[in-house]
Amino acid sequence: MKLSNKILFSVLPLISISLLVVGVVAFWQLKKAEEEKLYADMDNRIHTVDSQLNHLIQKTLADSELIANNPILKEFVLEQDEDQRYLLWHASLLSIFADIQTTLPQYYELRIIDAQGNELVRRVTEDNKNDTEQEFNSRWFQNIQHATESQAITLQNPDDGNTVIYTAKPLILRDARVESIQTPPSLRGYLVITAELDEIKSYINYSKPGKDGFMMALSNSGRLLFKPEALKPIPHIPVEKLISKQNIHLTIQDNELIYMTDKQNGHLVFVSAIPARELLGATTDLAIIVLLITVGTIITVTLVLYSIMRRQVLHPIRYLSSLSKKIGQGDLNIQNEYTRNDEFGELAQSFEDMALGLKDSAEKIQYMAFHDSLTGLPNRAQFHQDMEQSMALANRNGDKFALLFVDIDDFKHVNDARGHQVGDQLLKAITQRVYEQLRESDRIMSHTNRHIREQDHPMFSRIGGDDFAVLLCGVDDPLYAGSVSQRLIEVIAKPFTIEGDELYVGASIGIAIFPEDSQNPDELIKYADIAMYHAKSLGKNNYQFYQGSMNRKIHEKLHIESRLRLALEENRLQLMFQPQVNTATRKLSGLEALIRWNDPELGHVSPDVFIPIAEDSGMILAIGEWVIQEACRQQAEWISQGLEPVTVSVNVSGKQFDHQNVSDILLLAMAKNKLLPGHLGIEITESTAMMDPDETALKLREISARGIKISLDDFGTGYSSLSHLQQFSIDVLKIDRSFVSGLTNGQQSKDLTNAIVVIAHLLNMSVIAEGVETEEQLSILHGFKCDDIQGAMFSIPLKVEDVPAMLNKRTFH
Amino acid sequence: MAICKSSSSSWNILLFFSFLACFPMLLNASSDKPRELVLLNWADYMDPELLRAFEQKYNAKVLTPYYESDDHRTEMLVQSKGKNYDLVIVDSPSIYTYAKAGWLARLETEQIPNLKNIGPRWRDSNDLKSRYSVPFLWGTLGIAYREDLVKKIPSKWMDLFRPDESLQGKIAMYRNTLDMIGASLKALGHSLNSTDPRHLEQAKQLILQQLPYVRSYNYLSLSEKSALITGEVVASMFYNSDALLLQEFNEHIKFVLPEEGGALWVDHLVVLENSDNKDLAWKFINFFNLPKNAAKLAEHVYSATPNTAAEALLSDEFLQDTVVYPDAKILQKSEMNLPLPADIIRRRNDIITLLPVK
Repeated sequence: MKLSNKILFSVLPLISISLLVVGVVAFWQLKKAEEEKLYADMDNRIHTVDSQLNHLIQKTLADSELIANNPILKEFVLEQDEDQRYLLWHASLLSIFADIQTTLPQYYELRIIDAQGNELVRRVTEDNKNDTEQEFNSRWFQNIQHATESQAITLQNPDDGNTVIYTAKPLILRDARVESIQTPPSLRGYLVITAELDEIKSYINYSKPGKDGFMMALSNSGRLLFKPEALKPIPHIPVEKLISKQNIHLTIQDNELIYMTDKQNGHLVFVSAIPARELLGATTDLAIIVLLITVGTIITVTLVLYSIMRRQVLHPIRYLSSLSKKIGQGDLNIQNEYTRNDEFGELAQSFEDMALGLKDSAEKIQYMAFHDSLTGLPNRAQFHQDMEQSMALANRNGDKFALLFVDIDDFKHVNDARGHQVGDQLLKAITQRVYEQLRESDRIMSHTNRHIREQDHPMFSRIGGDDFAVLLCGVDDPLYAGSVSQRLIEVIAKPFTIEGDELYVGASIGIAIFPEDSQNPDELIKYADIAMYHAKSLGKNNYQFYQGSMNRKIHEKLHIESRLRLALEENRLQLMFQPQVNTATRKLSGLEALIRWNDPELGHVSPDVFIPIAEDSGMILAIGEWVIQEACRQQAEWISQGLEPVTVSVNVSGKQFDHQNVSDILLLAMAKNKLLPGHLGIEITESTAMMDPDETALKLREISARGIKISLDDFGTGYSSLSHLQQFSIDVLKIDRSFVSGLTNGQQSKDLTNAIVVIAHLLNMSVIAEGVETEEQLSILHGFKCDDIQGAMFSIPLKVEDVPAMLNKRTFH
Repeated sequence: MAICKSSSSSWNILLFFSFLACFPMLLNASSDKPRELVLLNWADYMDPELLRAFEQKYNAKVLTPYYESDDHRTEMLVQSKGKNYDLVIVDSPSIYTYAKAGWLARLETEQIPNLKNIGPRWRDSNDLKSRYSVPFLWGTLGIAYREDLVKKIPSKWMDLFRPDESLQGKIAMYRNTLDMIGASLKALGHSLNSTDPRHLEQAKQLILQQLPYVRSYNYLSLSEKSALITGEVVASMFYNSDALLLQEFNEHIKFVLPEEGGALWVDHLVVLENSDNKDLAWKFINFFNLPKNAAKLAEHVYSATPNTAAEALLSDEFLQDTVVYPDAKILQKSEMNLPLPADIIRRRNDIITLLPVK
């Protein structure tokens, strides 16, 4: 049995019993009220008919006073001569009586009876037999005899059997004709009015106490006088009891009927009767109604109670049960929605607290499983997971990352000598320093690389006793991993003060790069480990890359860099000059100075290789300055040889604009070699100019103001706008070789080239095309009115010693 | 209003003041202002010419309030207690009653010399009534009918009391105690004056049986609008004289004295004891008993006169009218109403009071 049913079955009987008790009490009260209502109805009707009778009697008595005052009536009565009485007065009196009866038909018999009881005159509305003209024997006459006041009596008219009211008005008169005024009036007879009780009869006929009750009127002697015409059969009436004088007011039950009477008037006994079953019937109806209400209430109360219980008890219990199930299933993120301020609410709150506690513990366990308890750093397992995630991410984005495997040198020694306590303190201190350093590096990196992502922050873990791992994400240049490693080595190498003693340790770091070295996390860790051991074998306190392809390239680059530095110091760099030829005249219009490096160890190294390295390492500044100095010196030398000079252009790198005052360097070099404006020009690449267009424009204007011709190199590869071209004070636009080589391949390059030329001319610039190698290219460019040409078509770059001859000849074919 | 005296005290006061106001005129009233004489009479029972002649002769003004039946007249007198009137035309039996009540003045025969003209058989000096009354006219009570409207000419009282279908609802009876009961007793073959209560009971039953067929119990009007003229009533209990009067309007109206015998009636003139104009009243009686006047009146109202001196002056046509002077054989069966004992009168009154007013 469910809890709800149990509660219901234990509470219901209590409610039902109390409701039933209420029902029974209500039933008795209502029954009493209903009975009283019925009795009151019966009683009221008796009183109503009683007062009707009284009214009728009073009215009849009043009327008899009036009628008795009629002079003809008086004459009739006073008439001593019997013959005269009838011959003279009788007919008139009859017609007076007839008039009265026309108006008041209930007075169906009007009579005058003499003092002895002889009927003198009688007028009836209908011809009824009147056998008893001598009334003096009748009992009622004996009653009224000698009375001086009008009297009323109700009885059955012996003439016709009707129940009537007799009123007798004594006619006490004086015969003024024969009697003196002193003679007291004497009783001459009575005016007797027989009034019908039709009104009473009709009331009794139609009056129904209760629903099926009836009324009756009994004579004082118990004769049934009036009853409803419809009453059939006439029930046996307990007459003796009803007319008993002992109880004026009486309610009795006899057979199937309940009778009530009230014998106040003394004329008639009015009786109300109702079938006893009506009382019972009313009671039965009442019982059914009360029972229905009670049962209805019980059902309603049950339903309401059930629903309240569901809501207040069962629902919370179910809810709590679902909560505990959830917790059991490990879902600790429960949100208590049950906020009622009752015991269930408290319980639910406890559930929520319990779940929160469990969640805390679970998180702690989780944390402990994945973190090092000493340093609080993620442990190897966590690191492994993180790395897997990083790999997935890097794979998706095409990024690289570096794994640094850091081993503390001589930690075992510290541990053995100073104890684990100190070792642990040391590990914590190291962790702290590395952590700070990484944050610093990250800060720097974030600062310089605005596109750094959340997941790109370095991850730092303790993966073994004195082994740490660092994951550097978003590392495009492995060298960055090297510099981070270097800084880490440096901070670890600084002395630690543990418990008052200074301790010195070192670190060896092995670096592995994803995805070059491996795309497998375990492998990557292994390679970093190998690289770390390699570093240790190389005498500790250093870092080593895992010997992969990237590792080699970096070495190569570093080698070139060191060789270049050496070449610069030993002045092994050389300049070559490529002629620029006027398209129309095919005459020499200028020379571009080009740097050449021939290393004894590396052989000939292309500027495309060493210039970026020089830019990265900062050597470009020195190299750039050398180029300017050398070109100016060479120009001056040629001028001193008597050769007609043409503009010599030198390439200026963006880095130079950033870090040097190129304008001053140019001016100084020109002044030193006594060069004139027009003897020197510079070429800057479009992308260099566009790095900071406003700054560049400023500087270029300064340079241009000193008569130095400015060419925009590699035009078409960057994203310069026409407005910038104007700002830049450009004299010459150099169309990139890629356009030129495309000229013969498609219309698009042609149109573009043509457009560039047209625009350049519009902006008052001359145009020079680079890399022109064929006659066809030349003729197209000529067709576009491109001003100058530079390329193998006319001349490859010339060695310094070959230039004077060319300068002399000046013309190309 | 013809009645100049009233029992009502308010009337007395009013009259008193009017008299005061007219006092100067009263001094020579006898010479200028005609004296009023109140005659209580049947309707249409007078010759206006004779009345005017009387008025002129005696500088009088005759007022003629009328009654509809003997009972009605008695009621009027009862109401006035025998006052207010000077002369009254009464039926024979009432004279005894009125005289007994003290209402009638004794005849001052020396004031009425023309009494000699009345036949001796009409005035029995032994009879009480000869002291108070003078016979006026006589006639019969029978049936008037419309010969053109009845299927069968009624010939006896029973034809009215048990009317055939054609008469039902078209007959009129006459609510007069003596005559109504008398007719029914005659119809039953009893004496008009029967005092046998069983006869009266039979009469009562007969009357009650007849009740549904009777259109009216009121004596029919004698004007042109009479129900007998309009045809609403085709047969009625009627005085012979009145039948002849209506005949003037419609010749189809006929009168029959029923086979059982009708009622013989004699109207008398009486002077009331309370009259202040008895001298003029005697003159009135005397005037109407002048043979010429009596004859003129008789012919005018189609009634036989007891004035034997007048008979000689009547036309042959009148004298031979069987309605006025019925066949002796039938006349023999007819009876005069006689005074009856009180209990019989009471019974008769009780029967009449049962009749509806219609």
